[in-house]
Amino acid sequence: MASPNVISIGGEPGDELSLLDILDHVLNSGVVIQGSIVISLGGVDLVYVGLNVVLTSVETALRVINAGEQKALDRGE
Amino acid sequence: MSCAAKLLAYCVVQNSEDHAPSVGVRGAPLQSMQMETLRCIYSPLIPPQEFNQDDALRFHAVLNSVFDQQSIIPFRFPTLLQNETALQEHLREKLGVYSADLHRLSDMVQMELRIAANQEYAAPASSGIEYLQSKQQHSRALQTASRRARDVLGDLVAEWKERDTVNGLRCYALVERSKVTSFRQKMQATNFSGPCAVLSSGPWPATEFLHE
Repeated sequence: MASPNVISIGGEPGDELSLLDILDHVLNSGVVIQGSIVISLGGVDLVYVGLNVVLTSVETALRVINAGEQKALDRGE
Repeated sequence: MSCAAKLLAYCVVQNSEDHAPSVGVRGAPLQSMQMETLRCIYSPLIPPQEFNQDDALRFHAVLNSVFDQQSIIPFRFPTLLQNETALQEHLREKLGVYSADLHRLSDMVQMELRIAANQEYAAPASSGIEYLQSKQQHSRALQTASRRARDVLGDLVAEWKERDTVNGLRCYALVERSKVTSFRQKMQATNFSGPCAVLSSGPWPATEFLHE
């Protein structure tokens, strides 16, 4: 059974979580050549905001799960 | 090639007959430059004033189709070089390092974990001591989760690196390509049972384990 506090993503472009992760990797990972030309990328700031949203979403999901479990315990299930 | 055109560099691979897609960012034809045991994939491109998300995703798609077949050393997007001579000089300069990295990392991929502590640890502190205590508690929770992940993954991980980030801890695991499924299964089956959330992703090219 999947653990409630682990979310796995595999890099599929159709997945919103993966989209942010892909952009993060493409923009921040890999070899940098000194002297290469630098051109800005539109919406880069949004990528970083998006990654924060991803992590916040994980936290929110956990709180919902925990709250659900607590309610179940309160009901004696 | 027009005088305004530059070269968009995608990645370096070991020389092989593997196939890359024929077109890259903005429909530019993909070409390759060989130097001894290396092959660099690039495309001539008249750079726009600003690249957009679709360009970045197309770049990723090219990398991914090559990475599906073998290990790659990707360039950060967008890396633009003046001309073939500049690319040739770069490859000549890095030939030894790139060859050694590709040999060492062949059949290896990078799996990643983002570990974030829940918001209770980020609650505003009313004093300096409280702030430091909260920060220490936060750091301990992240380290405990990281240790738990390493224990669970055991021999699946050939090498492990960590970086502190604003949101928590980012962990990079070097894993054999054939063991990716086991990695995912082990992570999915693990309950961290603490105050941390874990986001697992991959496989990615092993950029954190390059010598550069």
